[in-house]
Amino acid sequence: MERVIEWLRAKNPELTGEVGDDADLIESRLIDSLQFLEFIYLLEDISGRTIDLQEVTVDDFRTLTRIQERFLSPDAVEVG
Amino acid sequence: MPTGIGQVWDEEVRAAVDRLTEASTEHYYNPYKTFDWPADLQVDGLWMSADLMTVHGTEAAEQLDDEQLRALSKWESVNFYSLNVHGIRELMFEVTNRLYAPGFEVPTPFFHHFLGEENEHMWFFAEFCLRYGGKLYPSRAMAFPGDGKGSALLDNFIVFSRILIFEQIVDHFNSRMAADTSLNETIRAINRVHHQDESRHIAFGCQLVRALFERLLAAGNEEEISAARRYIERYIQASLEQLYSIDVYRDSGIPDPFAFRTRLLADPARQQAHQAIAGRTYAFYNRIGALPCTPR
Repeated sequence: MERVIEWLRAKNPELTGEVGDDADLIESRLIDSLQFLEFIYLLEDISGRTIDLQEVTVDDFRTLTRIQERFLSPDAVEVG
Repeated sequence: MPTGIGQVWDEEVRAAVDRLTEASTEHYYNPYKTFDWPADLQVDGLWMSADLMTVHGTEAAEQLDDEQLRALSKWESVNFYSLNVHGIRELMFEVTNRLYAPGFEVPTPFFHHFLGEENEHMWFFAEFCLRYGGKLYPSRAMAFPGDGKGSALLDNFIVFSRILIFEQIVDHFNSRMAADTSLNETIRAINRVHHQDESRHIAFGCQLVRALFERLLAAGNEEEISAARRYIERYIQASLEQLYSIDVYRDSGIPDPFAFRTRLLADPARQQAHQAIAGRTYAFYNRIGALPCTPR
């Protein structure tokens, strides 16, 4: 998850405080559709698993907690 | 100042709609009978022009052997046509939503030709991928809830800009490959036919986007105008970066495709390549004052 937070900070230099586990990353525009490809690639690189966008929704990327559960935890199922 | 979309279309747009509608009617062809689809595509060299590949000019390219380079040219071309299929799906959706919608009476006659031709382009690009690559690469784009939540004027400017930028970047590839005598004839033909049709679509898109941005400058507020300019700059960059596909590098047998992609994007040679690929787009948006560095 450190790499995800690092990425969010690099893309949003105005971000100074902590990113809460349940902060809404989409509503606050820390991730948007123009950065999405890069974000998907980051998650795939960290997890070693391919993400099939037919199998996920935008809500799966909404919070750090959800990202962890859906894509990064050892028991997360391959979504591809 | 009226902000309705119906007020956007000036005489230049009307003249372009008339001229391009006539040209599309005149050049109508049956795409389903236009191409030879040999059972085996005899490709002796590369599948796409070397200078269009994402490794062109980079240090990383020097470490690829001929077999890897050929495989990369095949999968990058399949990715390029797949991006076309997905891009066309999005633009058809947006244009269909505006057919005969209030305010779109002026461009609607050309929308019919545009949609008909785009449907055919989508077919022949997909046909190429499925016949010779055995697959389409899936779309890696996702719509976000905040997309399309601006004013109607800003949203229309963004929608038609997305279409125009996509078409101009693709056309850079099409015109280059159509003229590249080292490529297989079927590859050249699909690029040539697409380039011919797209010249009308790009002319149409330039008129719509120019008129929409002029109205945005006249009737929009500063925040909207800045948002429009920032979006254009970021969208061009995102469009270029989607050419660098992890799936393609993986299929081409390149080890650690993530690190490979990062290396390519950081290579100074690619900045020059991006200027060439999107040169016409940057020039157009600079001319109408719709890039952050060119405020009016």
